[in-house]
This record gives sequence, structure tokens and C-alpha cells, in this order.
Amino acid sequence: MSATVIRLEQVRRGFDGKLVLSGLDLDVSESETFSILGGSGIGKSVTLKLLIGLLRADQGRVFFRGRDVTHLKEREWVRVRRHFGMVFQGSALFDSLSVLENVAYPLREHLRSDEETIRRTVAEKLALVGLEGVEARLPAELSGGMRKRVAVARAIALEPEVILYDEPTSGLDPSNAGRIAELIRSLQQRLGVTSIVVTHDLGLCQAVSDRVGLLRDGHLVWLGAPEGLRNSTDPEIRGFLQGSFPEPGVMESS
Amino acid sequence: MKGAIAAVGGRVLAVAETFGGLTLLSGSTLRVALERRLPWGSIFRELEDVAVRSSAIVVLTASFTGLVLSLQTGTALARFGSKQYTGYIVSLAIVRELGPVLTALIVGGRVAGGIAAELGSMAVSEQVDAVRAMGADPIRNLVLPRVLACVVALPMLTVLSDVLGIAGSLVIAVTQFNLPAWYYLQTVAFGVYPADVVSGIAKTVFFGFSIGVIACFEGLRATGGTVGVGAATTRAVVFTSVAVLILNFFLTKLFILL
Repeated sequence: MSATVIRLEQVRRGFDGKLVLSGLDLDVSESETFSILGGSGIGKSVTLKLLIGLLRADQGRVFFRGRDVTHLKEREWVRVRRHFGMVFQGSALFDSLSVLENVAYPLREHLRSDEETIRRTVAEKLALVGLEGVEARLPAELSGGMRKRVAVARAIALEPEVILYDEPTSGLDPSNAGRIAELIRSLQQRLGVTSIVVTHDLGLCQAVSDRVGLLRDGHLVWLGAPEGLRNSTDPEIRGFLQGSFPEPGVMESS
Repeated sequence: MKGAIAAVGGRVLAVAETFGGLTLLSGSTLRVALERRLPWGSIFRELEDVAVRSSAIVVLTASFTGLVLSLQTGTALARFGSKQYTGYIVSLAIVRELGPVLTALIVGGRVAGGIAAELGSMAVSEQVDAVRAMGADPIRNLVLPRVLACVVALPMLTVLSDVLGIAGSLVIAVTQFNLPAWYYLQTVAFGVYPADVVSGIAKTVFFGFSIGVIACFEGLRATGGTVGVGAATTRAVVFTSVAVLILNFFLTKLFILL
């Protein structure tokens, strides 16, 4: 049994009196790829941001490697976040910086490496995501798929233990979405990292996940292997697959 | 009635939240500024943006302010046969008030709008979250360079503004009122004490800090896409202008007491 890397216990989080997460429990083990599947506006991105301290839980507890990180101060989070890499939904690359500077950003922030080492590390990470010779280009000069891959290169620059992917295939054509799925899988195999993917893309979920959790009404309503998704007779799963899920309900915060 | 009270209450809370947020951001910025490892590269980039790129508008504003002020003052004084005092009055008005305040308003509007739009765009496109997610501090990497640039650039631009304003007024004094240039400059030298210049420039350090902090605060709290960025930019420009005018009164009062 692999060690638990991340644990959420009865996490509740609301915005302006509207409850988005209503007692979410989650365990993610070492080196596994766990996908959180669900429709739009249901709290998937909120869950990722809670894991990395970008948002705070109203109630419940968040653990990283057994340590309760729920109430860490912002300055204490800085140290914890070094163990994470996050790929944002819109890539969130810095528009004014070149690809080199984007990928080098966490390296310059945390390591005192010389310029040559930084350039070499950036080139290695870009090669890992299948991009070469793009260091001098600005994010605006790249396609959506390339931007996503640069975002992945930036997320793995510090060789994190956990990579968080927020809708990694959103806005991409099927071919590029397939490449991103391959990339997530290959990084998991090559680097042995723990990955958490939040997505509404069932194909991605099945391609990359060891386990899948279906998020609805603020908590996981189904949990299992990706193969179980298509064959499931569970009404929650059938509802999601057939698109008969109602719009995300607004729960009044209590 | 109940609705009106709730609306007033909501407004009061929003104002309190803004002041609270500004105070916290000011404190955090000052704390980060005392750290040993500062992002010098970003600081110089921002300084170039604020100082160099604002100089053209400062040159234009200061020169024409000097020209107009000299024209108005000289014309008024000529009615009483006292046009020889033009240099004394104009230069004092420029170094004590018009130089610092007009520079802060003009540069503040340009810089605050730019900072709020840039940080606002970064906030709504999750780039600020990305900074935090990489274990970096947005206050150190994004706020401090911009605030420091404003604090350093504004006094420099005010000196430029003072010199050009007086030069502009000299041109009018010589060409319109037939005052000898040496005489005009002598009235300036006798009329303006070093304390006048220092108090005018010292005010701009506070103006620069408030412009930087307000613009960063509004930018970082932008939400809701491009509409939110636009609203944040407008708020930043309005609030910095109001802050400069109000601060100016209290700082003037303080410097007179000192």
C-alpha cells in the first residue's frame, strides 16, 4: 500500500454564501494519477487551489504527507509549494516573459544556479514536453497546445513531487488533447510523480488515470478505476456520461 | 428604509475593506523591502518604465504650466506695477505646490492605470496565482518593484518639472514682460529657500508610495475578466488622484509645522 501524499477531510468551501464544496474527502497515494471528473463550475479548480493553499478551506482539514497544512501562513506555504507543480487551465504563462524566462521562473526563485545551468535545465524540461528551440519566443507566439506544454515544463522545472493539472485539455483540438494526455502519462512513468488532474474530459480521464473520483454537489459521489466509468450502472455516472447532469446546484451555505 | 441602511452599511464595509487592504499591502511591501534579496532586475525595469517613459509628458506639462502661470501672474501684477515680483511668486508656487502635485497627478494617472491594467490582467488570467503556486511572493516580485519605482521616480521627475516650470516662466517674463533674465533668476534665487524645494520633493516620496500601493492593490484584486480589469484601472486612476490631493493638504500642513 502506497503512502498517502494528499488528504482532504470533510473540506467545505463557499463563495458569497454559496457552498461549492460541502464536505469533500479525498486521499491521493504516492505516484498515482488521480482524476477529479465533473461538470463546469462544480468546484474542481477550487479543490486544486485548496491543495496548494491558493484558497483556504472554510472548514475541514488538508494534509500533505501527513502534515496538517490547513492553517499555514502564506510564508509557510512557500516552502510547501516547492513540492508542487501546477498547470493552470489557461496555462497562466507570463505574457511579458519569453518561454525561457517562464520556465526559468521557479528555478530563479528557489535555486542559486548560474545562468548556464538554468538554460540547460530549461532546455531539458522543454525537451521532456516535446518542445525544442522555442526558448526565445513569447507565449503569444505559441499555439494553445504549445503554451500548455510550456506550462507543463514550468510546472516540472523544480522536479516536484506532485503535479496538479487544471483542465489540461480545455480549449485544445482532439489531436493536441491526445498529446497532452500522452505527456501526462509519460511524465508519470518517467518521473514517478503523483498527479492530480481535474477535468470534464472523459477521454483524458480514461487515458491517464489510475483512479477517478466524480465530483458533484460538493463531494465525490463515485470513486473507482477509470475502466469502471463506462460500464457503470451507477445513476450518477450514467447521468454524467449521458449529459443529463443538472446544472451545478447552488447550495446555500449553512 | 431597511434597504437604504443595508446599502449604506455595505458601502461603509467596502470602504473599510479597501482601507484595510491598502494598510496591509503597505505594511507587507515595507516588510519585503527590508529583506536582503531584492528583485533588482524587476526594480530597474519598472523604474525605467515609470521614470523614462513618463519624462516626455512631464516635460510638456511642466513647461506649459510655467508659461501659463508666468503669463497670468505677470499680467495680474502688471496692473499694480509689480511685475518684477513675477519670478518670486511663480517659482515659489512651482517648487512648493504645482511641480510636485501636477507631476504626481500626471505621472500617477499614467502609471497607476498601467500598473492596475497589467496586474489586473495577470490576476484574472491566473498569472498571480501561478506566481504563488511556484512558491514565489507576489508582493516581493510584483508589488515591491512597482512601488519602489514610483517612490524613486517621482522625486526625480519633480526636480525635472521644477526646473522646466521655472524655465518656462522665465521665457514669458523675458519676452512678454521685458524683465531681464538675470533679474528674474535673482528673484527666484532670493525668493525660494532650500526648505521650499525639499518640502516639495519630500511630498512626492509619499505620493509615489501611495500611487504604487493603490495601483497594485486595485490590480491584484481585479476579478471577472476584461470588465474587471477595466474597472480596476478606472478605480486606480481615480483613487490615486484623490489620494494625492488629500495627502498633499496634510503633508503641506505637516511640513509647515516642522
